Amino acid sequence: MANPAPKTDSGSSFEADAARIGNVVDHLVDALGGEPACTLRRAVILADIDQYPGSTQAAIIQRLAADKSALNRDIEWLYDYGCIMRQVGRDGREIKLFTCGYAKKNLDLALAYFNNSHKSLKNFLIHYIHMFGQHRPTLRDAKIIATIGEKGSANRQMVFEELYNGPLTTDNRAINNLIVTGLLEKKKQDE
Amino acid sequence: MSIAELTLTEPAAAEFKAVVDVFSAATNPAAGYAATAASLQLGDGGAGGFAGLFGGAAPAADGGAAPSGGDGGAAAPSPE
Repeated sequence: MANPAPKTDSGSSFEADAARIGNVVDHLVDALGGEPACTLRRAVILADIDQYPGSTQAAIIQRLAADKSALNRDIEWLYDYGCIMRQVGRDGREIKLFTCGYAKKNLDLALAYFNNSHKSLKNFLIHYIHMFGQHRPTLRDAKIIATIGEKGSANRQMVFEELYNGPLTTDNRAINNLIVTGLLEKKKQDE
Repeated sequence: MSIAELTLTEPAAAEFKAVVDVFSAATNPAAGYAATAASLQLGDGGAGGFAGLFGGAAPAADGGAAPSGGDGGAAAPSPE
């Protein structure tokens, strides 16, 4: 089934692309149970399972060079939130994984920006993750960076308005963490 | 009265620009490839996109989402 056309934004190419990155993050939040606290890494795993339906955990570990216990936690989380389903293989031992329901639907919306290429989506997410260095970025972090990147500068209120109706203290803490990690800085501006 | 405006730090702005370039190349390959081919290379090598990201040692065997422009990476998404 064809996906609906991604939202487009006016403005310069850079600003428009930054805004579209924000839209992709929104779709990923929707795909991951409406949880902006989810890591971008988890979004990569979801995209990988969607790319290879029926994958086993071992196959994902091999493809993503993932740590087994960390991946196990991510898979459990995705299952608990109804993002993936499990199917027992013919031998009764293998567990095959598939994306399903709202996760698949919203992931498809994110994929539409990448001409439905999982590879391109994962590649983009990996670049985004690398931008954060040692910090493990959440979807909320990604949205904050995209929002400020698009606007050039923004006060906290402007950023909160773009976020996900979570507790203000959580959003504030996320911004403060990004300041501490050296990605954001505060500049005084006369009003 | 003055209010604090948030901006990306200089290094973060440069990194975000590279991320936008990757996004642009992936979402509009024809226009973006030439301009962003250089930015598709990560410092840790061709298949290094995954290295260290998931706690494992080896990079993706098939080059999976490798950010290298050489294998098509984001610049030339393969039809699925």
